[in-house]
Amino acid sequence: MKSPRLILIAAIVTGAVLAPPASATFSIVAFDSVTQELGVAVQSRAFSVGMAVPWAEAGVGAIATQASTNESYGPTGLGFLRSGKAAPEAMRALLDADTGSAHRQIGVVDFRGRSANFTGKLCSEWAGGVTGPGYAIQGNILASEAVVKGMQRAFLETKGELAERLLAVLQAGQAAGGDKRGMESAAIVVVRPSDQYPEYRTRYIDLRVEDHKDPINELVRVYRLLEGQRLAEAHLRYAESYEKAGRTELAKMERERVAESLAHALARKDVDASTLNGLAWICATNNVHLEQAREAAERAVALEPKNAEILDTLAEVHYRSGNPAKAVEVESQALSYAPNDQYLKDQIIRFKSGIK
Amino acid sequence: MTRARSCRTIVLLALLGATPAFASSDRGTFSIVAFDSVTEELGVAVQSKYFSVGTDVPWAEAGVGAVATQARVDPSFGLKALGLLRTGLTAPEVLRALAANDSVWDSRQLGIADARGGVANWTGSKCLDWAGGETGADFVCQGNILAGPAVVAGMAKAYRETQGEMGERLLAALDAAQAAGGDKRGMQSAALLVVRPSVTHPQFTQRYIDLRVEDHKTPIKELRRLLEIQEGFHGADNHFLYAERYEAAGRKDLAVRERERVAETLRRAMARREKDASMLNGLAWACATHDLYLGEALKAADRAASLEPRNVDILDTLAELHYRNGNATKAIEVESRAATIDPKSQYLKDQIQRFRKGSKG
Repeated sequence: MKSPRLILIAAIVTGAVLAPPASATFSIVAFDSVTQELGVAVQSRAFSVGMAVPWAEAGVGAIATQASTNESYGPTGLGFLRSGKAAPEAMRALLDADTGSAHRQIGVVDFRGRSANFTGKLCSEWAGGVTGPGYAIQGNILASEAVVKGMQRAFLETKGELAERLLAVLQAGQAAGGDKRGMESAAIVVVRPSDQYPEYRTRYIDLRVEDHKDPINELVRVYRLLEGQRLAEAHLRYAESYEKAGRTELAKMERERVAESLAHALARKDVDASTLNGLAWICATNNVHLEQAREAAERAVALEPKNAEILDTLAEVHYRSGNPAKAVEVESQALSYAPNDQYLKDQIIRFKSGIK
Repeated sequence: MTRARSCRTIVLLALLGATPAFASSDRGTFSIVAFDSVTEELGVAVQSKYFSVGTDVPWAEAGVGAVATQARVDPSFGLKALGLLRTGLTAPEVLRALAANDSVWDSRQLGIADARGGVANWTGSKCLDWAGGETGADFVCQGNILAGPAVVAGMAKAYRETQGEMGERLLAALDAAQAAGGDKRGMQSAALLVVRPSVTHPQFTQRYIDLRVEDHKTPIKELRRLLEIQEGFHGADNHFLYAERYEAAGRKDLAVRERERVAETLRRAMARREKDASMLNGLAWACATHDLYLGEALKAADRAASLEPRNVDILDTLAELHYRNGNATKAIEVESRAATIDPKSQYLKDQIQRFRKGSKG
């Protein structure tokens, strides 16, 4: 608590207001012009970085405010962007109105991919950032400049959806030495326009690790859980709306994302049955990626062979893959573990009607 | 995966031609939504046997309202309800407006509080047993797939009877719900969201306290641990900030109350034998620089120094508190100890000088 103390002493002497402590932090703000996603990912030595640093709104922009954090940059900056300012102008307006700007660090990207960042000259070493079209990367109290360079490389080289790329950026930042003082918290926020699901405009992906020894890996772990559940569902929702809008290539890409999630899950040795089951079920009921779905359901069954719900998923996948006989066989097994389940009985009748 | 189970039922209905496509599923959850007319805080606390409940269920905006949307969750109800509240509708009116435009209202559960003290909640008849809610004067609590009605009753009782700030009261409600059996299927995630009006700090209108436990064996316990850290590291600054504002607005009574919150935080930290020296140090230092609760702050600094006896920053805090408690001799003794550990520090030398002069900076 050295730095806040010095500031406080200054406050006692001069009567100035209390300034918040600097938080050693690295972050990225980014925009995906294809999916219209805007996102922020951040790691810090400070507690609950997700409460202070990342701010985003679909169709508007994404902001990371850090160092001696002025959290009001988040909502105020989004307001500037909403009123039509481009990212560099919005950032300039925030800094111009702040007497403490020399202590601040900020990264901004807007909904057209314009980006900017700023590192106040009183931010603790190493502090700085890089920007490019659609992204800004910044950090303070870092091991060296290699941290932001490594983050930039990871962002440019990683394929796939924005969240995957943002997480790869955090991992690269840490691998390059990361935050000098260590790790405590991490967060990822991704927002995305949607008429039908307005909640995606402020929380498409919104995950936190508030206080953890290994926050980035924990963030990746919870992201994998999301991937197997709500995210797969979201991709299929977007696929449907793209399809309706006649954007077949984008619909295909969204469905491909689910296949990627399935591939990620299947590639993990320690994957849990519920993730596999969730993905397999979503694919089955949407008639996509049935072959991978069968592999996932079979692995889930291997993990929990007496779980009637998982057996039901496998049966459903068999049925949808054109194998009703196998579906009846697996569902009958499920019924032996839950003999009173009317739903399973109905399923067997349905599968039997499919056998010619 | 119970989620798959209920999705599955819905999908089966879809196959039978009853409802369209894949729908969000029933999620066993209990929550409390509240408004504090004195501090104008609005808050939501929630627990569920479902991953990352904080992404879907709690929504709040200072000066507007707070919402929990659960059971067969439609997360869009959060923003929709806040939008309607912003137009001036009361919580019960918003509930009616949402019901009028929803084809599966019978499967929904919601709690809403507005910023004028209005509250309303709804449990659809198709929510899974046990499901129900209780309406208080300035709060609502509700849950589904619960062990029984005692869960909701326990929540309400705990919120009514717990003293102190809203975050504490909301967590006490979650604790009580869990103690009464909680969610039938167990625990996975929890979240606490409190918002509060502030002209100078607009971020508080969206995130005054905003803590998440996404996937954990004992999420409520973990949420309490996080709240303790939050209070220890940010709470004191926030309370002093509001105290100053109330003071400037001539509301001395409210200023006193805000400052008292810091003393409560300090007492709680000491009562649970807090082991985080930097938290104790921060709280003690905040009190020292505001010339408040100097006796309690001294105890906290003492404890911090016994946890980290060679930490110069902590020794400096302890010295400062001795000085402010009128014991310049002791202050010089402790600060000299700090100076032997860090002999190059000009700041420590200046402090010793200041203590010797006996004049408060």
